Amino acid sequence: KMFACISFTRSAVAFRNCRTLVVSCVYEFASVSILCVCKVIIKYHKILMTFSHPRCGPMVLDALIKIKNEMDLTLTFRRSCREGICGSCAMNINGGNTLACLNKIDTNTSKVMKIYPLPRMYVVKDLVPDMSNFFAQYKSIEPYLKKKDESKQGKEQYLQSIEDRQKLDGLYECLLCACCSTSCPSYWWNGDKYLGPAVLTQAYRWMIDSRDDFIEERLSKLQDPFSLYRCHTIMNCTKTCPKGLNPGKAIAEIKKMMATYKEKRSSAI
Amino acid sequence: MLLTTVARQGLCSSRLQFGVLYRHAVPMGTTAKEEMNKFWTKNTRLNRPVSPHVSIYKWSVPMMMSISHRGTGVALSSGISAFALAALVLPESYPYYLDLIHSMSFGPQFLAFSKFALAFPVAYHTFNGIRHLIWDLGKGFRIPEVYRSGYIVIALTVVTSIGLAAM
Repeated sequence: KMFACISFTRSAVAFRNCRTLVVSCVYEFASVSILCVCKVIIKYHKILMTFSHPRCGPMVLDALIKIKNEMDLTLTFRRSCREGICGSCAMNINGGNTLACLNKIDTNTSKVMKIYPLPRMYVVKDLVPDMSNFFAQYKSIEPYLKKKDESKQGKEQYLQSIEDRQKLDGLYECLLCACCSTSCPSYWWNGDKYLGPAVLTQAYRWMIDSRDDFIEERLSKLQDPFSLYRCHTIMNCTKTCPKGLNPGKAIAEIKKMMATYKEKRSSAI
Repeated sequence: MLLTTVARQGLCSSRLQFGVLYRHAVPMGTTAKEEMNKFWTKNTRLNRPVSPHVSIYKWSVPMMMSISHRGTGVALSSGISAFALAALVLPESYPYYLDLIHSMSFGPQFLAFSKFALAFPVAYHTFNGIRHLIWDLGKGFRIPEVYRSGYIVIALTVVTSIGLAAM
């Protein structure tokens, strides 16, 4: 099912009736010239409206903000830092999941840009998906330092060698934007039970943190057919990560650890 | 000044004593499982639509190769099972059916094409299978490497299929 929602401030009443169907918003744009003209084409039900505006920023987020300010005040999307560090503006642009604030608008004015919400997510409004499940899955892997002996907590730093700290590079930078998880077809079909690349990468991040003592328990938590093993190395995740991280590799490393690490049955006995 | 430092120390020590008690005094608001259940009940109750996925996501070579690996796997498994079932069920023996095919005068191009069509899934699934095994070792996960190994698999598949069909 495909939904398109457009409401213009100056549009006819006919358009407003379609809002009851709507939920995911599709806006099709032409590209934007960085310095001068912003030409935006919005096409819905074969009606074409062209606007020319001077001065728009170079990124897709700038175009979205401009449209919200000047054309359709009801256009709804998440955004915050505008510099690719918060992960709020994650959406599907031209078929790939990226951050809108990092995605440059194509200066070729003949090309149309298609913007969709993150794939196969429940849509709250326009480009805003319901991320609660994603965050609940992140919570389920216990993404915090756990030590067997907590008596020394707060007394001094838990020291870590440079080599051990380097193992966390490429893992800690994750913004939890959900671009990777929502690009994974396995997550599309099994989003309820499969944790997805973002959450699994963070599980790995805590497993290989030399200061953490609960690696076996973390591994044993993934010992079922769905949480980890729905990954079939499709590699959409690494391809789409806007920060250049490699969730596919992290998941492969977890699978290796699951096979070779002797898991002490922490619950039994 | 002495008074403030003493007072500060007094405050610190009391906080340390009570810190252990406070840590487990207030449990977490909701568990992960509760949050997940709330998500599903809320979204099904509100009947929210789901954003498009296969219809809008940009296809790429690795993505297509992955689904082809699954497709060829299913085709090969069902082919072998069908062959086994046929061997059980069909009245005549294998040499009879082989002679039957020989007697039907198929053109050489058609035979070559059908041999290629049989060899292609076998070759593709085998070579991509090796690529999967390399991934299981943890190697070749950078995106340029994924594309490179993918193109190698496709090239090997075509060459091997032609070679097998020519035999």
